[in-house]
Amino acid sequence: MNKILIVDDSPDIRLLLGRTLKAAGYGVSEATDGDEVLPAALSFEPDMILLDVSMTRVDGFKALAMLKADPRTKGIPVLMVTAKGHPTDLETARSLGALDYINKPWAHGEVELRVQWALTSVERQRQRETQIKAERRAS
Amino acid sequence: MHLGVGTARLRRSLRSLAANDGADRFRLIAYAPAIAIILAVLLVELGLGGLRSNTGSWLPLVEVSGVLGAVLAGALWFGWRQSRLAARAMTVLSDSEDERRTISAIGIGSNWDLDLNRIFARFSNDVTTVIKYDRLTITTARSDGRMQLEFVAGLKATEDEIGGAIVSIAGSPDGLRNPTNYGLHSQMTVPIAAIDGTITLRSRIPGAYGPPQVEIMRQVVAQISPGISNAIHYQESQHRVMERTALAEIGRAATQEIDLDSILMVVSGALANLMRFDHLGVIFTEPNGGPATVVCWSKDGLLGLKVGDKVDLDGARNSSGILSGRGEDPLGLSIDGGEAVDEQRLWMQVPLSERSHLLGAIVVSAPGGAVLGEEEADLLQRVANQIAPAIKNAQLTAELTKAVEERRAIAAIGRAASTELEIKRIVTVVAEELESIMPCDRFVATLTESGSEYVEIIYVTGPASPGSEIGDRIPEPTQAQRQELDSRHAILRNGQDIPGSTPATDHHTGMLSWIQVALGEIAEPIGYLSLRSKDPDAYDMSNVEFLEGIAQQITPSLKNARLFERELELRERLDFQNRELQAANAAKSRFLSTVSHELKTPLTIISGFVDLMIDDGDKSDEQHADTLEIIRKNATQLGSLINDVLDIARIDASGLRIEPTVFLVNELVVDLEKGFQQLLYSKKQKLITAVPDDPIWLEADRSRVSQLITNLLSNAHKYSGQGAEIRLSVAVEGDHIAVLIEDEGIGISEEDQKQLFTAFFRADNQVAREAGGTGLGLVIAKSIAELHGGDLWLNSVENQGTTVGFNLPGITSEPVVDPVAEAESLRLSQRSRLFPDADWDDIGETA
Repeated sequence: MNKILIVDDSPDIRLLLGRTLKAAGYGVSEATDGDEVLPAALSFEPDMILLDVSMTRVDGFKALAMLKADPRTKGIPVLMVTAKGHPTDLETARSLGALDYINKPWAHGEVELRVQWALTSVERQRQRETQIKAERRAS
Repeated sequence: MHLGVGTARLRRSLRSLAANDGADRFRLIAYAPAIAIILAVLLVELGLGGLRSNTGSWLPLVEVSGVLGAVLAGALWFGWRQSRLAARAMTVLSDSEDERRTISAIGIGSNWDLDLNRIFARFSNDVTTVIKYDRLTITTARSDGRMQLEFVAGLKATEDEIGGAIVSIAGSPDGLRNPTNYGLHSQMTVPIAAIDGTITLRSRIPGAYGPPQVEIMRQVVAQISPGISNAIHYQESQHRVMERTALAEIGRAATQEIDLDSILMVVSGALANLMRFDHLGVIFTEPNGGPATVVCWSKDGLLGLKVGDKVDLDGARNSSGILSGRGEDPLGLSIDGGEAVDEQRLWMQVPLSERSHLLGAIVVSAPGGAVLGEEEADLLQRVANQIAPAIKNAQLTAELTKAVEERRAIAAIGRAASTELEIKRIVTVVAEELESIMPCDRFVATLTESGSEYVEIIYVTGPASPGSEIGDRIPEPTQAQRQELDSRHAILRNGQDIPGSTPATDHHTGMLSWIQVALGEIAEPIGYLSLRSKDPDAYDMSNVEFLEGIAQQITPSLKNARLFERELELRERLDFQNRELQAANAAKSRFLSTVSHELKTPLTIISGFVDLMIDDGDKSDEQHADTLEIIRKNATQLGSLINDVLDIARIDASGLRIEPTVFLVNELVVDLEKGFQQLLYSKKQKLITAVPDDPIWLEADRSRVSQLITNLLSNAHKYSGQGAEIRLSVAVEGDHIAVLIEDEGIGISEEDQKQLFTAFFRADNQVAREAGGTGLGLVIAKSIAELHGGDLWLNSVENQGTTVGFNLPGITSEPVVDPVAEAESLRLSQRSRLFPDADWDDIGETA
């Protein structure tokens, strides 16, 4: 069972995402603001992080930068959750190393699909890397 | 024997006659008959002796002897008596001897003294030894034919004025009007030929003076006359020396000074020693005709003369002679504005001409007692002749200086016109230069506005005049003035109603003359220059011509500068509009971005939970109830958010409508208190209200006022902690209600307070973030207050609390209940809770 960390300062959004993802069979943990992301990621060791962009204390971009700066967490795939959806925001998110983004409000089933796709693609990537390593070793 | 006595007497008489000179002539006369009788008797006796020897009888001899004896005795008695008479006469004669000695003494003192006054003083003292008096006066004749009081000794009268003319009264040569008032009953007057004058003595004793006294006075006067003549000659020669000195001084000033005032000051000073006057003025004829001008006058307003006054000198021009008189002067100046004319005042007017060309006149004014006679006229004429060339010179210099000044002004204006690009700077130079060379108490420059009947004042100097200050617009010249402008470039008004483009307020500032010149083509001027003066005759045609020249000189530059300024203005306006648009655009982007974020979050929650509920159809009712509660909360939030956004859009487009009704404020507060109970309970907060017991009826939009207070109370609730107190107080102030909402919340920093009233601002702190909300509430509240004609203010200290106050006008009395309005307000109150007055078309049109 994959574990997902939900980071949002709105309790209703956390509740919604939690219930959606639990229903889809994921293990869920929550963080209430950007500054709680790194400790939560270290203790919970999630397979994926859903990170809100607009937060009060530390916004999503800063939290993302912190995650990517730490070697222990930089491998965790991050999906940004945003209501802004402005192209520059997406660009920023991508350049900082986010895998994908989910726009509010999302369509029915979109969150589960995007999470699943992201996890699958990360898994495939890992398998390919392992394969390449094995081939190199073999050759 | 009796013969011996007789001869002895005779001898004595003759001896004393010889010794006593003429004084004993009286004795000789007295003895002469006695001696004659004695001689006759002796002759008779000798003759009779011859007869007796013929007859020999003694009887006739005895008879004859008796007769002879009697005759002899009688002669002796007569002689004795005569000698007594002679002796008495001698005493009398020796008295008059003393008198003659005194008289001689009086003469002695006067002969070497050169001071008339001292001579008179000594005389008045000495004369008391021969004649008693209580008052002695000496008068002299003056050149004007009147008598002048020179000296008074003894009793002085109030009318005495030494050096003054005597008001002639019959029988009173000393000018004493009422001698009996002073107790003076006797009087005698003796002429003094040397001074063409008189001496008058007066005494308290009635009948004190008779012919002997007159005789004595005549002698006395004869004694002192040579001395007086001498002194007078001396004084006259001294006067002549002074006259020479004065004329020399004036001549020197005339050659050295080129400034009229200086020359005239010297003239006035030099003449002061020679004649009695108190005011001296000079009047100049204008070189090109017209009235003469007073250029120097020692006392403003006397006889109506002031420096700069225009006077009619035709009198002087025609007579070309000296005029003098008493009282009103021939120039007719005393008629208006001047002091009341003193009937006794003297004036004299002497022509001032150079080579038979009349330049003007010297005018002298003196008090009634002074002398302005032939001598003075002669002196003034000589002075006039001496200064005339200098004055002509000074006049020419002044004209030349004026021409030089004008050239300089033209050059300065030309320089400004060719180098300056700003209209104001060009006009400033024009104003400064014109003020320095022309009479100007107020200068106004105006520019026309295309397509307008007004001109705009772009520069003004002189006294402030409301309605004609810089930037004010005043009407263009009228059609009549335009026609006048058609023929000339300029309008000139002296001492008349100042017309047209000059506001009536000019009269209040005392402007009496006016000159205006059009700038540019007469048909289409770009503006006007006008000068005003308090002097009613300030301007003439030479000023007009000069101003026209200036106008021609600066018009092209002004046109140029105007174009340049318009272009600058246009560019600035464009830049400004551009910046405004950019700012508005940025604000709109920010607003849209924030709004979309704020809208999307509750929408996401609502749709997400709805999806969950649909997916998890088998979940328990309890779980559904929780989810529905979340959905409802977010839907409400979304609704109020949309309302706020709509309100802001309306405010932005000035479309927020106020629909006033009359309602009870007290009730509104109670309603709000109830409505907030639940919200307050969630944070254990307490709302304390303070509203007067008396009903407060307010004419305002009830739902908007409710929204206003709700917004402020929600803010207070949001930004205050658990268990805090919130105070709401209402007071009536005149026709306003004043409402205060105070909290003990986190407050707002000074920096944040600056942008509190901009849409979507929300103080950047955790509590604010957690509190949610759009940040639009305060903006909307303020707009509602302002739409009602009230205002809203905020006072806050960080971490201590915030006080927001607002006031609304519209206090009114209890309304008569109108069933229609009642029904309408009920209808309004039953509108949709989410969108009570949403009107999308309305927004779309106005936003």
